[in-house]
Amino acid sequence: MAALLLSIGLLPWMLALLGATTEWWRPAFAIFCHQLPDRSLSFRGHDMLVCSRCAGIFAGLSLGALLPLSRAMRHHGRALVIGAIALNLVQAASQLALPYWHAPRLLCGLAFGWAATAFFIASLRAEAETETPAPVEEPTCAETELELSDGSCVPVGVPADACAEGFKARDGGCNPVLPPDPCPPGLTASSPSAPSYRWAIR
Amino acid sequence: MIGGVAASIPVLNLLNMCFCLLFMVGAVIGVSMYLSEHPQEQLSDSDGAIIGAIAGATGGAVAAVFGIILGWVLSSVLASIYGSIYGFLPPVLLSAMAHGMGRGILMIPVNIIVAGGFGALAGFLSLQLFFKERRKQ
Repeated sequence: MAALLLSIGLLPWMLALLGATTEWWRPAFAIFCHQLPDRSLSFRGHDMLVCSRCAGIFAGLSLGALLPLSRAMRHHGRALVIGAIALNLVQAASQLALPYWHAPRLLCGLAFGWAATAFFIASLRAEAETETPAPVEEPTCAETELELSDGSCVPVGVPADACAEGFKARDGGCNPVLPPDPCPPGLTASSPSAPSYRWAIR
Repeated sequence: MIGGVAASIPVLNLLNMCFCLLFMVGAVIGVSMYLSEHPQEQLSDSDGAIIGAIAGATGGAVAAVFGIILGWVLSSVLASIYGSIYGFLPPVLLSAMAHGMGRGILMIPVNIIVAGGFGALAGFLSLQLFFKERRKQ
């Protein structure tokens, strides 16, 4: 969009500077501007295709596309546009009493074109940033590890030092410590810490 | 489309004295119509720009075509008056009419692109200035 507005803004200026045949191009801009000769700038003896205020607006489109509002200034964009419109209205009203001066018309048009376009481009960029999903972070831990909130990795399962008495850590779990030989019939292991046999109560 | 038709009419075209007013108004009407047809919908800035661009481009195309037709009709009327007075039509006049129409047709894409760009800007501004409560935050 910025490239399109930049191109549109440059079009009447480029045509004027290149001395393009106004007879050919004039109808293309007739629907956008009144094209009154006394309110238009002249280049090389030819009137521009748009009046001086519209020429300023077109230049403002290009300027706004190149210099959009910053993130902080974007919140003042609405006020900037309203201010630029008010400036143009005041300047237009002053023309009722004063002669047509191209410079203020051009500058007021430029102010409106820049404010509107700079606000527009900044808003589109901000919207694109909020809609872009957050980049997926590559996992730093191995497949058999778990990432803690502090960023450290621990293996899945019960930690080796967390097994209860009588159990021994093994393969991420806790295995009971049993007597070396199976208990004889009628007996069961008595103490996990010192395995021996005792009568089982039935 | 409303802005386009108005912009192609010679006297109404003077309303463009204020910042391409007709196309701005056309895009604002476009956004307004969309919002009234979709009362529950919130629009983002880019949605407003797209609606404005469509309204502007349509207006630009309509203005160009309508302008060509209007120009042709007015030229024909002038030519018939000239013919009735002098009894013939000079080739220069016929050539000018044909060239005028050809130029108008060639400029239709330029009208659509420029009007679309202005429409996008106007659609965005209308959402920011006139339909703030319907703007997606």
